[in-house]
Amino acid sequence: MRPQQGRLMVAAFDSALSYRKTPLTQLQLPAGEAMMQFQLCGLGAAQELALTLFQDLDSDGRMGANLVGLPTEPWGSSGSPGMFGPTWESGRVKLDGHLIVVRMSQ
Amino acid sequence: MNGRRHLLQAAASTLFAPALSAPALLLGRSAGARPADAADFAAAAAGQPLLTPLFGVDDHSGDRDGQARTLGRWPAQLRGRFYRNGPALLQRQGQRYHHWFDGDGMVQQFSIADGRVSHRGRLVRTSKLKAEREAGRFIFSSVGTELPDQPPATGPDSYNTANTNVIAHGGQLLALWEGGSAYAIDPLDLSTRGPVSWRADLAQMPFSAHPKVDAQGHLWNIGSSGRNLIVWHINPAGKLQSVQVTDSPFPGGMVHDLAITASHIVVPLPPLRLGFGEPTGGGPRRFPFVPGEPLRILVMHKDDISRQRIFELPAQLVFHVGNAFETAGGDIVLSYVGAPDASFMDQGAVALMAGRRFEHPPSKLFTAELSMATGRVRRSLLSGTGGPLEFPRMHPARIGLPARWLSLCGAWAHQAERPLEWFHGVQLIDTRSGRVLRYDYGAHAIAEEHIWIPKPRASTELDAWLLGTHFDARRQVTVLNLLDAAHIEDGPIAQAVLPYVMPLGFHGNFTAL
Repeated sequence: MRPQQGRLMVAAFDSALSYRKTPLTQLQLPAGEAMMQFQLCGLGAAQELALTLFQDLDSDGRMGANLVGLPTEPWGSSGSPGMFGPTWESGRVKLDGHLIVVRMSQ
Repeated sequence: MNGRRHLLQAAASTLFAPALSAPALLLGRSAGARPADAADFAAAAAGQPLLTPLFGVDDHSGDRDGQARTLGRWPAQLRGRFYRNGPALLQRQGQRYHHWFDGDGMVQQFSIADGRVSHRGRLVRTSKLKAEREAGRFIFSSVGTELPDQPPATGPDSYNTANTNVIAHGGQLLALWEGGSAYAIDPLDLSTRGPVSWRADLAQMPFSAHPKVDAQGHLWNIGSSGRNLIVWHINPAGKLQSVQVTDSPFPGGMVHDLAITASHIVVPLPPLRLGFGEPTGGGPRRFPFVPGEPLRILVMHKDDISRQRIFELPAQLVFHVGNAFETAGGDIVLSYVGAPDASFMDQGAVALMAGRRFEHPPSKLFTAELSMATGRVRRSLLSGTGGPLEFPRMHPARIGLPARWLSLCGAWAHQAERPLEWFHGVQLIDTRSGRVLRYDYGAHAIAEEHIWIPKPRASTELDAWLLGTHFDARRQVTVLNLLDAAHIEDGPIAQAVLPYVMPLGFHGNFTAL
């Protein structure tokens, strides 16, 4: 993450149907250091999960985009989203007690 | 692991997640992709001195500073800096890009004064270069090479290579790519200042590599992103005058170059999509023509790009325009270099990187007469020398006006002796008669783009110098050449021989001092 800039916004989804529509839970954190670790509660009985994140650098509550909709704020996803953004399939991970590691875009 | 530990509970109730479905978050995933192998190129290049520049440079020892040995007579009136750009970092730790267009950009600066020529070359320190230097390997996919385990990219500038052109305008030196922002470079020491955002909401906006500057100093450029076509107007002071967005008539297509006239922007749209982000399975990305699609020539009014006309021609691959101008009757005459298929983009630029000879149908110079009244277009073959032509340039004060002459690189001889089909000479083509005047650097040479510099107090179009580089495989050096446009067939009137070889470049421009 870019340290101390804005907020980290996190949303968790538990199905393809709800993915990027209806989060199971979501979280806002003030941006801390380049590496942040946090616990996400309220996941109920979910067996698997896809997390979407973005760093709200200007704290306006939404992911920044330019005139033609290209992102201008860093984003991240659980799983292996590739360069251009996640799907439910590329973002889903098992909830098995291990840390979920998300790398934010540069 | 130096991060603080946060143990916070979910509290937010704002629904921000759908914002992540910003339109540009395309869906792309790769599996099992791998780049080409540097050892394969080294094996192909062994015993082929003409291929040396295609090794490129590395980012630890790649910078160059040198004094050139000058030959001939460098005119006292010629003072300034000639900048060039091109893909220079082509391989890393045994990885090698598949496609010539993939490499990281390196800006060359030839400083010319008092008959002396000094040279400086610097890789553009893009965020991509920094990230990959830290990683010790290529990590971002590029135009022609798909890599495994790609990190997330915020936008195009995450993988912007700034490798295609370099031009000074409005007090800034800009290193240009096709898909993202211009990178500002220090005009003297070539250090990288960073991506240029002309306005806060224009960060990460594609600003292409072939802006056209009119005689008054107004810069016009295009950009494309998915279905969006962007037209930029930067005023002579380097300030954003306007940015306009319209729907592309061929969404996702390659948009490389533009021409300007007094009132219009003219953009060739060949029937080829770049498919960036789509999985390739590890081989080079393929760039076939989309079947049934024409070559479109999109003409837009400068003041309102929604006022447009689209002309259709049988499919051709077009990278570069020569020029365009308006006739007294209000029609537009466009000159451009066209090839009958996409084989150079699809396979030629890959063969080049592999050190392999690849024959493809040659590109030739065409004119298209665009009738703004009827929407009809007439195409004529202006000139072909038998071999390929590329890198058209013209007198800088006549861009968008009726101009007679174009300079181009060409290949017309020596082909049996050479391990690659590439340019060995420079030529002038008379766009009125098709007459060709040319100079051959020889079988041992790779000729690069030559630009025009009007002589002081010049009156005619050919009262100009041509300035351009060639690689000399016998001496294994890069040479800067100055020719008199009116006597191109006599060859260089002055040369500056670098003490080393530079990677092959694409395009450049001159700044007079």
